[in-house]
Amino acid sequence: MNHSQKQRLLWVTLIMALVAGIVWQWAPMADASKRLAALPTEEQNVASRDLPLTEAESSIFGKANVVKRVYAIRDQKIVVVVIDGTHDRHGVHDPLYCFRGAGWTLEAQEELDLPRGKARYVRFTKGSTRTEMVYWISDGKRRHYSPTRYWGQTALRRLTLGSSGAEPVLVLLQPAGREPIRWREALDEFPALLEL
Amino acid sequence: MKPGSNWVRAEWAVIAVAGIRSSSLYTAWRDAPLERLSWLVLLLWMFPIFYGFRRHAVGSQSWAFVVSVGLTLAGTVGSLNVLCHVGLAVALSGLVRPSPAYWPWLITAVAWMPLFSWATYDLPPIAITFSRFLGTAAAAAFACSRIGDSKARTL
Repeated sequence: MNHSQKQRLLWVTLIMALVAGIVWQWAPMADASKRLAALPTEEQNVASRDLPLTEAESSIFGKANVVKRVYAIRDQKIVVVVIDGTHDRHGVHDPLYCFRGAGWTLEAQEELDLPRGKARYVRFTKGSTRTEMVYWISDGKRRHYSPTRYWGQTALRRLTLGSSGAEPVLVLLQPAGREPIRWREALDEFPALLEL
Repeated sequence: MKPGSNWVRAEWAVIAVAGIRSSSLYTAWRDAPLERLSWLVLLLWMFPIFYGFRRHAVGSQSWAFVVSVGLTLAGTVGSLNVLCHVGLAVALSGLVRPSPAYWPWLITAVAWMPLFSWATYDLPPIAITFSRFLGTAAAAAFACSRIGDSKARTL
């Protein structure tokens, strides 16, 4: 193959890839908005109110669908953030990476058993401030907390135009105040969180 | 091969597309605390390319540009920035002549990607930055020392 033939071939490859990329991104794909909408705002012993996203959160989450609520589950107050990255996968970040990057030090971590999967409990410190969080990723059937598995799931889903399964969503729980949360108790009291 | 000859057209287009699809790097440099200096690591990593241009010893490895197109497409369709970043690295590496230093140098491209700080975030930030610069500088120096060892392949 001579020089100009190779040039032509590379141009054709590039243009075909560009067209394929554009067409693929326009192809409709079901999001997880129904699952997010199904998250109850009230139940017995549970009440909630929506919280607005901060400017920083809006910037981070981009076009992702986000539910952010503070739930009062008996005597405990928890901020729940659920992120569906169907329309902006890059709006879903690895929480560990974000906290470490923002200067927090990981103090403790633990696995929590959930129905059909696991969540991760983490506790961070920054100076005299301490915070904790529980998070997991759920496609509605299985739960895990591995970002690499999430990337694999979402990439496969996009490559197969959604036929590989439902969109996984990231579920993040944090205390609304300074008091540590009895996570197991809160999850048992409000199992709808586990149905996302 | 001398810069300015007509070989560059499709290759530059591939590099430009890979660069545009890797625009998340800019966002990371701006917003992610662990990525603030990564643009400097990228410039350091690109030193063998600049050095090759200066010595009129630029390569054109056609496989690299084709692979870059594939990676960039997969990264775009699969919403995986890391594939676009690797696609950019592979495309840029196509400008360097093949030599024994090529693969070690190409592999150290990971040092300017957010993937590096994600994979090493257990380390103190200073250690992440130091290892990025050290690894890239060593690989770039090795690559520069080997430029001219082998002839460029032309498309």
